Amino acid sequence: MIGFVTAALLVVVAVVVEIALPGRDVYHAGWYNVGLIAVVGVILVTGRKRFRKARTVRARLAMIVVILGAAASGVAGAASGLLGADNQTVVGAPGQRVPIETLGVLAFPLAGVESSVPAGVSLERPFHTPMQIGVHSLDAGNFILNALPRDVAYVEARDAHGNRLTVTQPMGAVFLSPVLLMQHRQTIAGLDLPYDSFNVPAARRVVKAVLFTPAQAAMVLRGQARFREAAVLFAVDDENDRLLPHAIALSAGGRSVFVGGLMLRGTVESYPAVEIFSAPNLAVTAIGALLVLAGTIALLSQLLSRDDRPDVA
Amino acid sequence: MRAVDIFVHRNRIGNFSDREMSGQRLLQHDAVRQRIGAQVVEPGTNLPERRALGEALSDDLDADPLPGSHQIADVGETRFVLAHKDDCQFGMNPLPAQRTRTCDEFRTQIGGKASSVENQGGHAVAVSSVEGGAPTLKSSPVYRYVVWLIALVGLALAFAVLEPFFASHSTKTAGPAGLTGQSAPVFSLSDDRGSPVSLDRYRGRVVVMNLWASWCPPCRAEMPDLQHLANLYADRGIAIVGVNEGESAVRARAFAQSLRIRFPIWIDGNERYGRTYGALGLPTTVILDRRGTVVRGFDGALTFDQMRAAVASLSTTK
Repeated sequence: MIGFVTAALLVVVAVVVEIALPGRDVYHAGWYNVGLIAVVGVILVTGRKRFRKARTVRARLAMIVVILGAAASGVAGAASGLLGADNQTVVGAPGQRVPIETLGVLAFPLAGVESSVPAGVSLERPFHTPMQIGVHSLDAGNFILNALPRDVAYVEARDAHGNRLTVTQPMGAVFLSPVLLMQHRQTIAGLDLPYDSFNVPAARRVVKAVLFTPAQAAMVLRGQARFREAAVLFAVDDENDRLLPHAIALSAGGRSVFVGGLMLRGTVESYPAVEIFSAPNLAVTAIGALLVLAGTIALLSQLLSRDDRPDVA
Repeated sequence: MRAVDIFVHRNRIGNFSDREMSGQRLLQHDAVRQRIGAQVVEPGTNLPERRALGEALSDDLDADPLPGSHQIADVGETRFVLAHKDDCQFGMNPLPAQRTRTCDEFRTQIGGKASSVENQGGHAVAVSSVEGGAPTLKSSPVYRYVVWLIALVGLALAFAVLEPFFASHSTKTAGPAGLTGQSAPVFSLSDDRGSPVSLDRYRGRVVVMNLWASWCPPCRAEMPDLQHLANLYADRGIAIVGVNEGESAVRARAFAQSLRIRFPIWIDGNERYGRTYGALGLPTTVILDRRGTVVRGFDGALTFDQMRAAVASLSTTK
């Protein structure tokens, strides 16, 4: 009996851990899930034998409850591990709506320098009210979502007269957006730096933007102590991707630089990406855990009280 | 209720006992009893006869679902069939070890609960008189409902666990048509003369929003047709709005004047509409109904006929 109950509790703990500590690769490992299913199988087999030996209705009911709870939790865990999508990080542009298969649509807000409203990605699903995704985990049925702050650059391009020009990102997540998501990496002076690029069609310019943290900016620009703030390095090409002469400049602290015939300004902002982990269904796991606990308590109380009298007086 | 416990100890009809144990069916009819009495009780009954009897008995059992007049009770490790006094039934002992016990062993096992244990044709039958008898899980009237309930709960849990892995919630198309059916986002913008404007002012009218920029040749080509459309449908509740994406008001106004555009020109410096409509390029045209819901989205320049066709049904709808 102790082994039976211990195995059931083991299943529940293994599945609850997947929710409490989401995102571990081991949860998708075949051996982990096969093991989980095997333990559930052992519970079913041993439970059947114990069920036949149980002398009271109460004991039999308790065993049914334990078996059902362990099976529910185990199936939830194995289904998540075997059928759930791999961990992924969704980087969306402000205003973008990113559909996620089997989950819903992630709506990335217009925020940062463009809005006073705090940035918060929301999850929209059919028949559900939109849910805000915060820094802390949010369980959305079979998924756990985390908001992950990351640096992006908000850029402005103007002509020599100060007239604002359209910024486009033909290779970006959104065609029309002045927010660079900085998803690419490049090594400059031994530093691994994020970069992105955008077009200014009205001026026929292609601009590459490399993001520096304050420490990186200070390191690169030795002796210029004023660079103690995040910076964006602009490199301006013509429409044929040829670098123009004297067309590299650093915009620090949101200040504008005139380079390649453009007045460019880069502001480093924090904007959330969303980490998505598949996880066991929270409701099913909770129900399974409660069933196992309730059944275990009933079985243990019977064992402790040695109440093995039959139901017929 | 006065009940009689009858335990039939059978060591020669394994077919029946297995079936009965698994299905928890009880023998009730006199005809069945007679067949058992006539054939099974004979110790020398051979295997083919026992199989034939098993088939006949199975038919009877299948046709005779468990009636509610009897109950099952466990005493120690022995299972009893409790029945009305005049309703003689046969039951099974589910434990193989007890199939070989003698009448005395039964009497000892069930103690004072059996008033007598009889040997009937080589089968031990324990008979006791008890008042009523506590119902067990299986004999309870709610047993069947409990089983169904457990099955339904299991199915519901399985559905809850597995359904999300196979259902698709992301059928939205990309591009400006992706917001079809949803309320159009409303941003506070300025027009090319600096006055604040908003879509809220256009509720009750069909709105054709055209996103454009001065550096975009297709936008330039499309603009005169939009002005023509605005002229044609001005008195039919249709408004045309040109939303400049990412440029200053000076450039936008100069562009509009060069083409003699008279419909409102809005300045969307941060390209918010372009982003929220999922514009794949410029120009992009989105049509809103009178309630502000997106009904159509077009990527690229439209011909005048396409514009007319898109708004024709909406212009007559009140």
